[in-house]
Amino acid sequence: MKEKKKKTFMERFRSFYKGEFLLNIHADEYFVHIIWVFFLAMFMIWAGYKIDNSLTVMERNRAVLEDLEIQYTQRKSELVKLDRISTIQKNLSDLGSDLQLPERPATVIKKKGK
Amino acid sequence: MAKQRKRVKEKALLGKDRVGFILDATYAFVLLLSALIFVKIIYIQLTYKVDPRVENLFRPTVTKQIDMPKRGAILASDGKILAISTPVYQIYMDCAIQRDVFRQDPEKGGLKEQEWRDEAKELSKGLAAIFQDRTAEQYYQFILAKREADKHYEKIGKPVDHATLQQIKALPLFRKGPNKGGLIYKTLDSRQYPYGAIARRTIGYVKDNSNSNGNNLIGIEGRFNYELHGKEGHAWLRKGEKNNRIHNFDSTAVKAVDGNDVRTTLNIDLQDIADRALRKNIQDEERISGACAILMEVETGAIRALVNLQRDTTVEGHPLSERMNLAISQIGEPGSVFKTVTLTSVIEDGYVHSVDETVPTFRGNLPGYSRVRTDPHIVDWEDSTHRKEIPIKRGLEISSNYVFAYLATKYYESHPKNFYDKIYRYKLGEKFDFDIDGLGTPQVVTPDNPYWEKTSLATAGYGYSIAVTPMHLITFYNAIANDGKMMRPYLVEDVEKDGKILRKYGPGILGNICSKATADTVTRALKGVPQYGTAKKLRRAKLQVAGKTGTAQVALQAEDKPRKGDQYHDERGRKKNQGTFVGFFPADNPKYSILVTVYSRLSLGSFYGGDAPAATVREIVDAIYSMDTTCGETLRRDGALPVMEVREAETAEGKVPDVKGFGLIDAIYAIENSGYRCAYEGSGHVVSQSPSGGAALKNGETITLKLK
Repeated sequence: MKEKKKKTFMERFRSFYKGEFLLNIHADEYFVHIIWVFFLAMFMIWAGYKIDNSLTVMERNRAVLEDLEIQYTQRKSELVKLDRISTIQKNLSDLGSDLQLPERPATVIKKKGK
Repeated sequence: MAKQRKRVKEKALLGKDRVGFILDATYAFVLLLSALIFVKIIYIQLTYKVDPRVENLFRPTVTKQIDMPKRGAILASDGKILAISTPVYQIYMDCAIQRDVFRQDPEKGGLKEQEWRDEAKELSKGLAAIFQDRTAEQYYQFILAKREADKHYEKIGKPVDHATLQQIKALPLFRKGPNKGGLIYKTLDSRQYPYGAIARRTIGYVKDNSNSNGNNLIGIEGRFNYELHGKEGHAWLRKGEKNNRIHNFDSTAVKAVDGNDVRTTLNIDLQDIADRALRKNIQDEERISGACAILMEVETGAIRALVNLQRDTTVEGHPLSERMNLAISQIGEPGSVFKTVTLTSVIEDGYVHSVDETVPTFRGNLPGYSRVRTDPHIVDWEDSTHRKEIPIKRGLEISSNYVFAYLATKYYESHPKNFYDKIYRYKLGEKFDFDIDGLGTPQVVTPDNPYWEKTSLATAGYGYSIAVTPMHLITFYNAIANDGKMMRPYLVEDVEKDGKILRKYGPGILGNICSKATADTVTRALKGVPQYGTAKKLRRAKLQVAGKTGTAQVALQAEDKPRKGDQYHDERGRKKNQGTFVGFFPADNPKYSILVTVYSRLSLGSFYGGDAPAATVREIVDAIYSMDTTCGETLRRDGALPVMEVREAETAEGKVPDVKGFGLIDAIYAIENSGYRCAYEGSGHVVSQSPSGGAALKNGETITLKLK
């Protein structure tokens, strides 16, 4: 009986590197599944990356929205300041206008029968 | 034998030594280990610094972020914004940014540093223009000095709004971003009050109140803080692919709930009118220390304007500002405006049936009450009319203390409790529920009160021996205007979110204080006060006002050092006055009730309700008249008005388009599109044209329009 030759470390490593251990455990029978798992792993990594990208865009948009909301509120606040009767009268006066509040209230036209 | 014994002994000793040695060694080892651990602990605590790379590995990758809710807005009755939250930004600068990087580059470092400084010079110009607190050169020198001092966080100017922040971000150097330009900004929560100081004390404060005495949460901001504040939330952030922070949706997150909006009853136009009128009438009178005005809707009790002005003597020029809510908190003896209360009571109790009934005058001396002062108005009345009696209505018009002391004592002397029960029924003796904190509790000297004197009932008849707030007074007058139905004064209409009402507050009834007949009789008397009495300034108001003036002396506090035995005057004979006008308008169909009270500081003069208060009321009434369409004329449309038709100018080659009835812009458009020129005179609509529509005309010719 021929004595089995003992493998050196380098030979073992080379064999492992070539994936011979997979043949030893008959993994070739599950080759398609291994490919599928590999594909799923790749897909997970890719999906995770895309999700992160989407979330980054979402965060950026959220910041823009917040910014716009603040801008809107401040503009609204500035416009409200101008809306005050005293401010309007002062602005008119500064512009040299003689326009004043009316002396008499507006006349209302009512429909017949009302 | 001895040798054998020695060997046994050595063996025994050796065995003992071995165990002992192991134990000793173990002990020594543990001792050494403990010492090492101890030394290591000391070392870690005092000198050891973790390698940042290792430290980073131990840091949690997910961080918690607290989300602050957006505080709700306070709105006027028509939805105008009275208070809203929006952030402001404090600018900082990393003045030493990239300085070390430039230094490490011996070849181009100097050049890059110079470029940075050139840009900093341009930046300084921008900062000087925006903040206007330093010149461009000063800013430049400031930045350079801080750069030399290796300062990384230097404050620039005061907090700015969002629009200004955008301008700052666009400045040279800053536009390069925080890592190269050195711009750092901190977001600060800020509450904006677009109308500034107007109604400020009523709207309230949430912080930054310089007159707070430690309590910042006052007014509507304070009372409705639980609605306005909202609820904090939190989120978990993790590092994204691009090294940024993104939401980690694997973790639990609680969304912040924004605060609700509070809609008030205030009408900002009316508030502005009242504020301006009151300022105008007290601004130049230095002896007036403060004043308040209340405008209330008769039917509902909704407060449309609430002005509180006080002179700030700590500031130069003593400007008027909203510091205390005098209208709800200032308790004082009301004086003559209380005569209406006495009148209502005697009519409602059936003692007096008409205000034309008379009372005997006795030269103004109240029989049996020698301590009650002689009324000079009655002496004048007797002298001018030679009559020994005076109609009650006239007594109210000339504001006679005697008449009302007489009525109170004649009808209630034997059972004063009935009079005071009436006062409580009118809610003038108790505090009622109000929408903001600080409503004062009236003080009434009743017969069972230790301060009760024989004259108390008589003086109560004309508004002394009793102290109420302006809000209590107007609530009573509002009930008279509302046919005896007393409405609860209120400031908050509802609580809402995104325009949807969550909780309705609205009007409430405090009770019926008198019959409609009594209210009508009292109103008739009150109409005479502006017409023939002490409120002459209101005689020509554009809407008829019914009301009463009142001038009361204010009981001095200890700090005012009152004269001994006289709580109304100090040693120098000076006094404090409270002048009030309270009433309602239009007198025949009341829509608003109004009160104006002014408070004087210690002075020798008097401040009458018929002066500044009545003048202020007059201005408010006239302004409301001109703004209120229901006060205007109504034209009834009898005939059918022609319906306007939309038509286009008929255009045909070589023919003039008919533009009669068109506005100028449409007419020019139609004419020039047809290839003609246009000349016009007048304004309005086209009433005639030459040549007329449809006439033949060469291209390029002019068509003249007449507008009217």
